[in-house]
Amino acid sequence: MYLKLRLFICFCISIFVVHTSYAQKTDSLQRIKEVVIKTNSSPTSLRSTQKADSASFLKTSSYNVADAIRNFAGVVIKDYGGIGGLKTVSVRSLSGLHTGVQYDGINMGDAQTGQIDLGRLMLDNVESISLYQAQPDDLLTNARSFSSASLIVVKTKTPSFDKGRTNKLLLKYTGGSFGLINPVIRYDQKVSKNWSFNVNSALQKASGDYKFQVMGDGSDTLSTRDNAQINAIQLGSGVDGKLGDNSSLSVRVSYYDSKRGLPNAVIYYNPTGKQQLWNKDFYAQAQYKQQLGQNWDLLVATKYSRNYTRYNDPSYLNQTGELDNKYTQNEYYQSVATTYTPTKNLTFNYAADVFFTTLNTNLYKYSYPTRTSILQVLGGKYKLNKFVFEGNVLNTYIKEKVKTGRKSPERMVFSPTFSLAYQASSTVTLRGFYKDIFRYPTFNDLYYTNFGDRKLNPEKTKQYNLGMVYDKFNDSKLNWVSLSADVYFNQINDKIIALPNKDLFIWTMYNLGNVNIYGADFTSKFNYTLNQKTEIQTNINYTYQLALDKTDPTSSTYNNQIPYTPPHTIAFNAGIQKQRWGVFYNQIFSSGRYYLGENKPAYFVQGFSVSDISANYRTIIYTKPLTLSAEVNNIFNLNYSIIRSFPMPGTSIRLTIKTTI
Amino acid sequence: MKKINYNLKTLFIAVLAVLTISSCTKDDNYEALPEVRSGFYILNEGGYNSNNASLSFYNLENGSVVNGFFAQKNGRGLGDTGNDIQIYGSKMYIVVNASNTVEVVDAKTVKSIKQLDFKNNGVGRQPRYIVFNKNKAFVSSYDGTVAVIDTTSLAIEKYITVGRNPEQMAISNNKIYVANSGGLDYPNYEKTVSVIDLTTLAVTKTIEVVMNPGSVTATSDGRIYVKSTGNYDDIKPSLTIIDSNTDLVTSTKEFTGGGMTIVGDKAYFLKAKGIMEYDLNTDQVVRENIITDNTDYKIGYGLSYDQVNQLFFVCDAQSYSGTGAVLCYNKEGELLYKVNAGVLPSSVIFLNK
Repeated sequence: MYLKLRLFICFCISIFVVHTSYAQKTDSLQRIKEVVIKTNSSPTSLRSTQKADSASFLKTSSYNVADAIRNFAGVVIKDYGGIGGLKTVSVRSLSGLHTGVQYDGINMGDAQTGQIDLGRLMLDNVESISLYQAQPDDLLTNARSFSSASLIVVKTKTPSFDKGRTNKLLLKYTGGSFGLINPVIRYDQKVSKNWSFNVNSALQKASGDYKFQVMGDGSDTLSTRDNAQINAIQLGSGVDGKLGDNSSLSVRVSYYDSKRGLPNAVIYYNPTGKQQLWNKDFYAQAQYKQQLGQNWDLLVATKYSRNYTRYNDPSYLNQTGELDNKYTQNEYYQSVATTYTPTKNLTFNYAADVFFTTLNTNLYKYSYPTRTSILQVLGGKYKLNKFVFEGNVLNTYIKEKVKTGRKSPERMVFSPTFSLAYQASSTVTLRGFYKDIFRYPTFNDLYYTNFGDRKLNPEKTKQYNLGMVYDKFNDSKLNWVSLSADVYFNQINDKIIALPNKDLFIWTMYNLGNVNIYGADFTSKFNYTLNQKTEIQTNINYTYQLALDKTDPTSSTYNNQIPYTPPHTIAFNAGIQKQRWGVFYNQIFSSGRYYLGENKPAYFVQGFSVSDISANYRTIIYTKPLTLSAEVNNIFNLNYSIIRSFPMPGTSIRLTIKTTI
Repeated sequence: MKKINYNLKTLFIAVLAVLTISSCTKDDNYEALPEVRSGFYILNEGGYNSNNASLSFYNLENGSVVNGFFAQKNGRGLGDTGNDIQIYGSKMYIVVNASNTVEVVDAKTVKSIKQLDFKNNGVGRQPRYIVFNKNKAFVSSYDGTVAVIDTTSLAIEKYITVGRNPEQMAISNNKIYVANSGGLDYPNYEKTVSVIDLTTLAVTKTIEVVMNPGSVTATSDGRIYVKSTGNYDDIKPSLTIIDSNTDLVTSTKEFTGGGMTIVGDKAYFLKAKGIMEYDLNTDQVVRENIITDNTDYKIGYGLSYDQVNQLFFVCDAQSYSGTGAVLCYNKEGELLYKVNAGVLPSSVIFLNK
């Protein structure tokens, strides 16, 4: 209680101070207009694309990519709690393994686990985050972006310089609860008319501890979530340039190094756990874009990435007194994408990706797999009067090599996607799509142990979607309304499930599960202009999910809602943006769900409704723009968890100061 | 009567009821009173990291089952990964592996008497199994110890160091045989059985068996049956027999089957499909499956035998993702009834009146 009060006072003071002490003069109104116009100009998506840009990160109290998209419709974030806790996103109940992530133009891959931790992707260099169903809207994209059921595209900031300047220095400092220290620095330098480079670095340090209530062990005092510390550094550099009028090149190098404690699941009567996780992730990539005449566009990309993970459990009761596992993944990636637009209404697209993925571990008798993937997509988009038709076929060829044991067989799969939109009126668009895609078994599915079946089939998904969009812009006070509603039916077949085999001691992966998902997404945005200086903005998104296990009619889990799938999710954000300051309220409501496949009261996890408040203030001192922001998360100090036994933090605070010199 | 499975069970209950009534009318001081079961407990292991180990009680008098019985009686959960359950005297002992506790409760009321903590300087010892001898309880733990507990004071008196990651224990000829699995040391598993002298409470001998032993059972004539899992590769699951008079290995052979239960001169093992009958005199499999009525379980997770009512109980994990079940079979291999339990039922323990 004392902590909560103290935080609240801090928050009030910070708002009061920033509100009263700084001089006027700002460009915030222009910025808001900019955002509105940008969104306005983008055509209505065929597949219910949702987007969050850097301006919205402040409004939704977002600290990482996972936070920034948690308000989206159709999204369920799996969050293991805390600053360093794993955060993955499942879209439309297909599980996080079916969500692709493209960062800075090229996809991130984790062939070992299939999971990308979105909690690790910070927002400092991010311009926008989009969530695409089925495929990206931009057809000049690599083939891999067509290979997942949904795709998160994170676009990073492109260099921009103030008039008459050739350099820019961004300084940002965030501090807050859990002993969080997070300084960020980014320097951009214009080298010539066409070329610029940047270097950036961020440090993240936190003790991570927080109080929570253990439910069910008979205790009534608060426990502390220990071993949640994180120490991470991010270094990056980029070169952007134009090679003549019609071509551009961008090169990026990035290194991420972190050490974090992995807090155990809360286990009754045994609050210990000393596991540590180290990550050393490096990538270097280059993208070259060329316009060939009026009709051709070409995008060539290459990337090398190396992800090192070390997991250590110092209380493991083996001979050496610890469990120490090391994994190194290497990926060599090449891509060529092209679009051809013979007439204004017709575009063809083709892309081909080739990549090699290897995994090295210190596990005994490991298979050391090398995977060769060749992905090709061929498709097109055609506009006819009020109709837009888009379709493509993705061809996937995968071949593996192993050093020991049996390998997974060679595979060749064709996967189609079709989309159709109809402009019913100037404000209403109707749309629909169908996609047939799969997730390939991960290295962990196939090779984690030296026994078991290597003949796993890909986990297949089919998506059917029908929806409508209503967009209205006018000059009256309610200057912008955007509504969308989509209903969908998704099917998962050959879901990969771990079960013990006949000897009971050995767990083996099987293609056993079938799931039918009936869902609806509803999004709404309102912008209301009070007066020239004040805007009120509201977003409400609603998601309905009925995700039923259709595996085995004789099983007690048959026709039950699959685990961790809330039937109802509501995300609400509302706020007021003045010229200099803005205050926003964010609320996520999730109905209860089950942590096991059988929907019995004993396996029920309570729903939750979490509220955050954020405030931002912009000013200029000594001609330098300064942004201050304060966020109070979980303002009602709700004790809840998203994943059972992994409690989420109570009320916490973050304060940020940012300036550009 | 809250819940009835309409089959032979109704008849069975009627017979029991008669027995019950007749036993109640007798003088309680009468010495040679036959054992009468009032019900049985099911230990549900629960999912790892899920804090949902639980106890179910099946009441034989009215055929009702109560799940979450421990939590109901004590206002707190059992914790994570219930690994073993035994009744000794008036007390019941529940070994909870990941919570690192041994819960001592009153066998009849399930009210907690004491929670024994199995942490060593904050690091869990990971208790696994419990056996009893002359008012002492012996608990094997993955940290390579066997704890000696006084069953009256419930104080842990001693830790006897054995091999790596000990699992089951069996008592014969005033000795405890402890299977040292080394199970956390893939692929360098342990391959020994430690022999503890019950008088001196010290390890007197270490016997080599097949790699990764986990299950130990003593026959009435002093033979020790040790089942080893092997290394999942070239060393296959095996059965080793030790003579407890000489502490020498008398035979070793490849063998698979879970949950060894001795009934007279037969032993019964749980297989993927069915209960296998094994002759202890000839050391041969008699029947691959004693189940005769074509009934089946999904994932056999434990096998228990009620010596009083001569019934087999098979724990069925079912989907692994929800409620398990316990199936009751008579000696003729016919399914009598099925009880819904908690998550991953693993053992059944019988309560006398």
